[in-house]
Amino acid sequence: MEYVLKTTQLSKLFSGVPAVNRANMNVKRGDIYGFIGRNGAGKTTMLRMVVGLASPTSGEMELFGSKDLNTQRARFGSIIEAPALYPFMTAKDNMEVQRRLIGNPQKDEIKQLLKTVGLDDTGNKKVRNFSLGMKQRLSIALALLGKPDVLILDEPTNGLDPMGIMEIRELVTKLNRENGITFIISSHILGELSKMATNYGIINKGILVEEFSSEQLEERCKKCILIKTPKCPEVTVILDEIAAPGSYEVVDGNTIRLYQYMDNPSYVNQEITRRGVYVDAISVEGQDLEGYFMDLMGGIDRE
Amino acid sequence: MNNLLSADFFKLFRRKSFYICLAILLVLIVISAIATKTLINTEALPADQLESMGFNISDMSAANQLAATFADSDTFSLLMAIFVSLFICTDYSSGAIKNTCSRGYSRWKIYLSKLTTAWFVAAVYIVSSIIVRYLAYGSLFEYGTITSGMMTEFLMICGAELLIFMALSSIFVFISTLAKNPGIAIAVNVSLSMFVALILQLLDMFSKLDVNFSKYWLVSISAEISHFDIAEGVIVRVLMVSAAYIVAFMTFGFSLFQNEDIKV
Repeated sequence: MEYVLKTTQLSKLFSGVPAVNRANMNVKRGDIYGFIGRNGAGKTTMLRMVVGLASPTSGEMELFGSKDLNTQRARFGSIIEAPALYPFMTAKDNMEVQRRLIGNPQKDEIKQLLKTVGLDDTGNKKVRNFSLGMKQRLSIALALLGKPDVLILDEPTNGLDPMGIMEIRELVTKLNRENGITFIISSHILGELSKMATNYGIINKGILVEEFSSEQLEERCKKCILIKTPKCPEVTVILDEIAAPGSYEVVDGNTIRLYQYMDNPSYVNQEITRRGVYVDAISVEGQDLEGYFMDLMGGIDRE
Repeated sequence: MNNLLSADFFKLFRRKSFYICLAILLVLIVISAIATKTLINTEALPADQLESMGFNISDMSAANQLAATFADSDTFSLLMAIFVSLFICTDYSSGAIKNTCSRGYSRWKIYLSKLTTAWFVAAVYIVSSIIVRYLAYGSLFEYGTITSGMMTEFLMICGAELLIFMALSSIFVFISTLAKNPGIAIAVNVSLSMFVALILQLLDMFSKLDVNFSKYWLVSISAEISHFDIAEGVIVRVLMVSAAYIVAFMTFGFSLFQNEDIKV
């Protein structure tokens, strides 16, 4: 599996205070990597180091398996923080500056991309007169010029209305699916990210605390009946009788998760006790993604 | 590097301020020619007083006036200061500098591209000023004859003036990169072009040191070579001073831009 981004113990200190602290970030080709953290957690600082706007205080970074970062950065497109556009120019002129910057000889691509982001009919309207959503979409078009392999979007839905957010989401999903572009998207709007991300990285107070796939996340958020008992072997025998094969898992010596009968946990309890086995606790567990992330962040904060 | 220059030049030609500053410069040259003509025609001032003000009223031909294009270098440097500040700082105020710096170009190339664009602006302003002054004085007075000796000296003056304004641009680009804010950059750069010459003149008047500070400031030396028959050695000093400024401020600029985080 090819990694488009791999950092090792990457740190950035501002006046001795770490904004990013020994982060090991791994993004595989084809991922939509949701980079999650609260405001000020270090997301933007991390992304700025990746694209070369800030230099790391320590640590290492590889882009496409190479340490020749400047060469590989030409394969990246990015929008870091607010849209970066010339207000006195039209959408087309802004695109032209970027086209020249990346040395892309194909002028047709500008028209094509403006159409993709729905800005092909803005004519001579100057960017200063664009709405935030239009600016955001134009930034995405700019970042897409030259067909980058990776697109980094830092809070791309900030300030957008629900329709704008949906448009960005659909665009990201489409580009990932059809053009194979890898996305790294930072956000603190978890519900939005969870609709498109295939992998996640959680950063809190500069520390990249965890990386996991959407499957792993789904697994963690899956609803289940949590059975706490010192008699796990006996309970599993009973579950083999009453539940479908593979519908439960033994988490540790005292805990079993059952993914069946969520609407009728008393039946499970009744069946277990009827066979003379007692449990310490039986409850329905599970939460939505947002709740999971909030718990994770809260957990980190408490540690 | 070609890509960077291509993008910077595209931005340059899309900027209204580039044309506005140039237009102001050229209009001022024309107004100055008309004012001179009026002053001489109306005989509002005696001839000897006009001579003492730097007017060679015995020969006001365009040919003879060519070298005097840079006599009012304050205005020239003022407009350069304003334009360069706007050109460099817009990249920061709009955040567009991020688009350049995140595309894998080395920082020194990005800086050099901006510096080259500013030098180009200086060259355009210089050439336009010469042409407009020649045409203005030619149509108001007479065109006169440019001898081969005059042409040689004039080309030498032009080269030296170009180097002076490249040096000034290097300072303006450095200050603008440091300030990042158009307002602050314009304030500092305009102050530099307007007041440093004045301060150095005062210093020369009152200093007991055996140094003529004005000889080493770009705006002052620009005015110093704005006539024919320049004393021997002056051009060499001008070239050396200008080159020193260019090297110094390029070095400062490179090291500043190389090491800084882009925080817009």
